[in-house]
Amino acid sequence: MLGQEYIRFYFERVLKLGDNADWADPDLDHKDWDYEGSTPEIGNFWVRMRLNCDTITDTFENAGMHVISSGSYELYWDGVLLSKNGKVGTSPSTEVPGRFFSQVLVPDSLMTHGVHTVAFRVSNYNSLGLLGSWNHFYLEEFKSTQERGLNLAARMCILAGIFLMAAIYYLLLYLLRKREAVSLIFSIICFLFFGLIIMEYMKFLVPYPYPFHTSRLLIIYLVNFTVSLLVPSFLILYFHIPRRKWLISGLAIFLLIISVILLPGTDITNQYLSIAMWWASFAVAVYAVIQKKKGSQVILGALLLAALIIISYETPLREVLFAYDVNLFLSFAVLVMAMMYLLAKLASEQRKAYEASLLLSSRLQNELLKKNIQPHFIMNTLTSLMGWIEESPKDSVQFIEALSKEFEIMSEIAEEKLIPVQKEIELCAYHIEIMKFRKEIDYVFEYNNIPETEMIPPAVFHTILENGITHSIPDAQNQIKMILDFEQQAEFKKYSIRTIAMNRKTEKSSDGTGLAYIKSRLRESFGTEWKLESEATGNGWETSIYIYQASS
Amino acid sequence: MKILIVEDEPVIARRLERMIRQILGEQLQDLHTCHTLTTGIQYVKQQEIDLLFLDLNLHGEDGFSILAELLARSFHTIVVSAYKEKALTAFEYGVLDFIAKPFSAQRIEQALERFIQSSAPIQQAARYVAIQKRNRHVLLEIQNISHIKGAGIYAEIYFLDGTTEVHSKNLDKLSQLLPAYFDRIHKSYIVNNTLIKELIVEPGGKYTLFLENDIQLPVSRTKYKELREKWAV
Repeated sequence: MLGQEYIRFYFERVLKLGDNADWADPDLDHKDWDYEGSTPEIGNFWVRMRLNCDTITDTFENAGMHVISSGSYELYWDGVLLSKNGKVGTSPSTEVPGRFFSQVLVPDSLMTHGVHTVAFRVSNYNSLGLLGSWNHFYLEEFKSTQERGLNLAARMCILAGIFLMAAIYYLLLYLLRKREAVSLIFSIICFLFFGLIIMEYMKFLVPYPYPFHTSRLLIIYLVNFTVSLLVPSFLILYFHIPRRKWLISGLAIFLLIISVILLPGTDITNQYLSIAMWWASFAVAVYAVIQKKKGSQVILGALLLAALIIISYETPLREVLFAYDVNLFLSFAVLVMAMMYLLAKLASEQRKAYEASLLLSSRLQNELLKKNIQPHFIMNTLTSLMGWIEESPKDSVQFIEALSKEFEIMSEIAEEKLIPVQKEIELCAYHIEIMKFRKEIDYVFEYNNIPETEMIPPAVFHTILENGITHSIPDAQNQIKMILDFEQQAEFKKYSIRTIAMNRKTEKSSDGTGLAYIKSRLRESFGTEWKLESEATGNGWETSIYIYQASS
Repeated sequence: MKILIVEDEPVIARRLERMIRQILGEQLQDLHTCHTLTTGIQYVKQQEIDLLFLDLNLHGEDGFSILAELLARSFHTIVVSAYKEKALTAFEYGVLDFIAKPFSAQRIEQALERFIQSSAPIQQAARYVAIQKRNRHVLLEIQNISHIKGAGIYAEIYFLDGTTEVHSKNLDKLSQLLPAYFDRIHKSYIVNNTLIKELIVEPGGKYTLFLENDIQLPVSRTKYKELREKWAV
């Protein structure tokens, strides 16, 4: 791309408002002209430059002037009309807007050694008037500008295409899957990057009329502003930084201030917006790393790498006119890739959590089914049944009926995450009946005003009942009473099972697995919105389950 | 014969009682049931029994701890349990038998046979011997036993490292639990036959066993006749 290519710049530029054919004259003394070379005025004016031709410029096979002009012009080389761009007029309607970028082939005969005068007769009636006039050119190998530009544009278009694909993909993800703000924001960021690249590099592909240049710059500014706001916002949302509304509003205001102080549309403004974006993102990343958030180190690394790419860039060839470095886009690309990595990580984690919950449900279903065939239950029950068959066939039939009912209900509820309370009560009633046969203790199971519509996880009360039976000693009347209560408050529902009996002194609590099952079931259906309490009371034991609900 | 049943489910206990009574008949002197471990342990501290049927929840550490405490005592213990996979460990601790629930009358009879005939082989030899110390119990490896000497209703166990422990079970009861490499050489002696160095026959029909650890033990004439071929000395 950059080889032994020479570029020749002019060494003087002056401007004068007005219109006079004499001003093309190379011998004209323009001492009293405006050396600023630029005017905020809209109308007709001339711009003159001095240029040196020598052995270096002789090397050009075909000398080409790469002209940038914020107005239609007639180009005079040493007083001779060389080229026209659009039509110079005296009003917006009489003028025909020329291209902002144009190329002029300079014949070899004009390239004699020495100083030459280039004069532009300009009118900019169709300008949007927001920026001052801008007339500039450089001399180089005619083909080079085109080649270089197309080369660069082609590569950047590939990058743009990648951003566009990413934008579409994440938009689809947002629409078709869970509507997460981070996905949508990322999609917009990618789309904006796509737009930014197109806007930047279209100058090589689309020879647009000069009035569009102001619009183009404004669009670039707006895109840049939005990107500078969105990238840190994405990170703030992704890492769940507190007080995000304040932070994002603050950042927006800060970016606006930058824009107002430096003018919107200028290169400096865009640079400062990007720098502000980098610092804001950096602050968020550092905070996230300190908070040990997942993925924070990756984004921090990407930010540092992006900064490194920018800083390490040295410009042997200056793109002077409103152009971004390729390195800037490269560093943006690094950032975008890091953000994409974060999103992929998030998706992977969500997938893992989902699979874990499936596994958990499967495991809990297993545990529930196994309850019936735990040796302690089934072997003792069958041995007891043997005794009943020998002692009283009639009772043993009842025993078997209760047992089969318990098995039936267990199998029915095994696959559910929530079952009607009434079903659970039914299960408990049969279990109590079995235990009455086994232990010959008068178990009484009472339940008060339980609404029919309530749903609870399966075998939870059953487990509590089992624990109660294991840990209780009957009272003087050989009775153990278990009472199920339901309470509905604004913030929660409460189920409590009170065991009225004497507590057995146990050295080791075998409740471990029982309570673990209950907690897993509650977590499965209610996340963190529950509480389990289990403690001795004056006349027995009480186990309570609170299920919290969002107060409407 | 005095038997204690420790079983918390009354229906199961009654069934076991019926079976025991039916199998032993007149041989049964006393049959008692306790419904909790605590009352059961209290009972054996106050009363003498010959055999214990123990329903133990072996699914947990303290089940075996209580078992060890009971095995240190003078009576044999038969465990009746729903946890079949714990049988091996129970035998290692030194139970006479392990009966899985649910059990049949034949199974109970088989267990009682082993109890009645002290020569009847048990399913699995013990690996440890449970010794009651002041307020705890220890399990000592049987393979470290050199020999055992009967001392009335007790037994003195001599270990290879020179230590001695007293066990509440007599020689007859202990010998039932010990692995095949222990032989009853005398009314009052059991020896670990892997330690036998040589057997000296002295004039007058006196047999003395010399062990690797320089212990000398007498062998009775009748026992010598039985064991001569086994040892191929």
